[in-house]
Amino acid sequence: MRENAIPYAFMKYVGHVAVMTGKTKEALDIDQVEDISGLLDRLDKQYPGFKEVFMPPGGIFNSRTGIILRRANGAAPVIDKNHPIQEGDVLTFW
Amino acid sequence: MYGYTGKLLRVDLEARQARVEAVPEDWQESFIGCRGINTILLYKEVGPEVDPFSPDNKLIFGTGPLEGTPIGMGRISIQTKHPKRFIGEGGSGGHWGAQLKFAGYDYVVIEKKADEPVYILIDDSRVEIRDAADLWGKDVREKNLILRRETGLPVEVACIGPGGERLVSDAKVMVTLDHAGGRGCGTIMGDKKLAAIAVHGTGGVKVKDPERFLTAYRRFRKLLDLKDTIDPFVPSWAFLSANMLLQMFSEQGWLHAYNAQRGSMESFLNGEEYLNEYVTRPESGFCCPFPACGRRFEVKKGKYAGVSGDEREGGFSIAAAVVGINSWPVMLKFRELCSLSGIDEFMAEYTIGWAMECYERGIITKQDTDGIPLTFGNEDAFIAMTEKIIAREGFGDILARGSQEASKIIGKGSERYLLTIKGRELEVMPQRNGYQMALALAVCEGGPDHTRWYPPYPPNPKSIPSDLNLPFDPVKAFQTRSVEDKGRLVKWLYDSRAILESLPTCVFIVRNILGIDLRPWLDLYATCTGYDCSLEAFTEKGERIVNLERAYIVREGFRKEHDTVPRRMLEEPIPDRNIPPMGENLGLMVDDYYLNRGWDLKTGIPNEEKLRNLNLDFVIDDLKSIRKGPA
Amino acid sequence: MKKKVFVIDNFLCTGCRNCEMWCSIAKGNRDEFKPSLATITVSRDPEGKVNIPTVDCDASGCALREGDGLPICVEMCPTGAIIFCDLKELKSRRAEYLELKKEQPLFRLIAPWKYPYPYRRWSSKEI
Repeated sequence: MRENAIPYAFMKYVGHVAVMTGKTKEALDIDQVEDISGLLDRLDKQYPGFKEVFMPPGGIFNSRTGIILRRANGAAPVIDKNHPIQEGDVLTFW
Repeated sequence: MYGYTGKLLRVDLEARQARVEAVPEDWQESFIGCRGINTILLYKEVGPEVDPFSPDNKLIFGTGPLEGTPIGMGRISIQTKHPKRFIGEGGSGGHWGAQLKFAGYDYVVIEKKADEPVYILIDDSRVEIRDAADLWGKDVREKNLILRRETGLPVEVACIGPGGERLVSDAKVMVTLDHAGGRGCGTIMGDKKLAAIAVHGTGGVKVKDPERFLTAYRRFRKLLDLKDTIDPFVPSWAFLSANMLLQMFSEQGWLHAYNAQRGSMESFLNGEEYLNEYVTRPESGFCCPFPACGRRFEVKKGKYAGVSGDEREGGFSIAAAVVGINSWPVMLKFRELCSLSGIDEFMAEYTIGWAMECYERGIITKQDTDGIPLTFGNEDAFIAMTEKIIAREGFGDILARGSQEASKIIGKGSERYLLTIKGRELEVMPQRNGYQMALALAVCEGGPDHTRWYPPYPPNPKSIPSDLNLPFDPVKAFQTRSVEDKGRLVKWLYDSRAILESLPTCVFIVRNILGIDLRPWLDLYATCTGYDCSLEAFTEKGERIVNLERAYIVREGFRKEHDTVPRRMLEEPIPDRNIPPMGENLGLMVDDYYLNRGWDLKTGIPNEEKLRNLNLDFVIDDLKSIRKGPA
Repeated sequence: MKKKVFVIDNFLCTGCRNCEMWCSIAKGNRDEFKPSLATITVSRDPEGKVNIPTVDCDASGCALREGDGLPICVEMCPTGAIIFCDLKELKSRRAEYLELKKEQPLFRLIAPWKYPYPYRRWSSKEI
């Protein structure tokens, strides 16, 4: 891994989430993003209303459904809103 | 009478006569209706001495007390003794069930065989058995049009297609054009030479307490609201149904790719492309609350231009991985073929997938397959072989018997690659990835059938009402790769879905907390029919139905060794997601399940004490003679 | 108060008959779901091409309507195929709908006034 390379993670959108973003996949620059919560903030800037779907204000964030994380090595950990994001991760939003 | 009509129509195809009987009231109390009463009818009238292809086998179409109301969703349950000797049962949606209810009947029992093709017309109290020479051999769409023209009424039709007429294994009954039900029932219907049942009804369904029924219904609709629901399945399922799962299954390695040798494909179908290019408009069953659980599609360009039809619940697209195909026009052409001819998509996909693996391993060659190279991903071969199965010609005639029978004919170790449980092909639910699904598939009384316990996904734990006493631990039980607490979870899934399918209602709207909390359903049942009971008594009815189904297959000779999953799931890992095989975990879970059920740990036969508690004393005598023999 | 009428978009109608069933309770004997008592009828096409609901009602006899709220058929329709509005509102809704349907194919399945999430035009290269 080169020192000055921009870290990327890969997003996949399913169903009504794909309708929200207008696409089914994209590569996202995660340079300033630390964890799931930060990732949702970042996506919310690009697609207004995105964060509310997964973290409704005063509502419940459930890490077992709604977002699937797959690491580059194939592992699929159970996540919550503070889970860290790494380069090469594939996140499926549904 | 509220909700129920209490009438059973018994049709003798040989004598061409029909008569109306009353349904015993204590059955309605003990078994609710639909699937529940179908089971007790089948148990009492089709015993172990009856051969499935003899005139003494019966075909039962059943509805329930909530049918004809908006919560009933037009669901029916079709039951018969399956050619493999377990209970061949399938539910179906559409509009036929509602018409039967409006015509004034709860059940239709078909007996004996006709010597020439016939169809039954039910128009309120007028029941006729007519010649069907002009229907036999036609596809499902044509049968619908001919019947509407011939009867002059806007009838709803439940019929078989050419697949059922030619006795293809696991053929289905096609209800209201594209809704399919009763795996295996289509074969028996074809054997009885019954082409179709056309129903038209002008009556209604009485409700005991309409104000409270409306309140209960509004609460039910609120739980499925697109925005307010806290179940993330709902917003996407409401438009794409199971097509939303395509990419998710692929990500997690849940696909049975290449006959379950791998868990994912490099590039797989996605539901969004389907929505963008092929969907034209929504189509639903009776009073479905979802905008588009079913969709009409049309292929406009390319090799398969002109293909059109309906699909709902999209499971056939997930099984495209079994044959290694990732092209929408091909899968839609396949769907149209299966809908018009009435064969089961899963049977075709899994049987052809198995044949593809045998071909790639050299067990069968081009000579056996009539010159068609059956390799994974070969789209033309897939469509050509499906057409051969429907026509029952050449190699298709061997495959049309199902993969288990075909492997007996082919031999050469091909049974090693079978993906069957109790002789019937799998459905797309994964096993090595989700142990609750593996257990539920293994112990199912009708071969692998996911509608008997669907959905197995956890609700949001923080949304579970605090005053609800769940019979299992929701955090431990839903962990996908541990054996903890699976026995109690699967027992709950089976019992609750038995109640829901007996009301009847559709298992695919069981989202949010509707799958773990039976109180909204008890409300709807009590306000409609006036039968009020405690939650425990209500839950017990489900347990009673499942124990009766188990007693039925025990009587036929099924035991614990039949409650297993295919060899591949127990011995081989999923290489591309590093998921190990199940090994001994399945055996541990089956033991746990039997323990919680009160069934004998060595044989799977329900204990006497359990049967007495459930008021199933008449079953004890039946099983006594079996217990005396070798276990 | 402008006069309101029922307007139906046939291509959004799924043929579910929710409207017919609830209308029969709202208008009829009040305790029976019986299609012949309803003032809305859905003709379902046996070939499945399009469903045609026809309505003969001004919502005055709808016993399940709460004050000035929605008539029961509009409340229960899952896709928003049936609406109850005045002529001016109808024209602007239709125009908006036809535009949105070109942008986003999801609106072939549901009306925009029933869909609560944000949406975007498909980026055609990304499907």
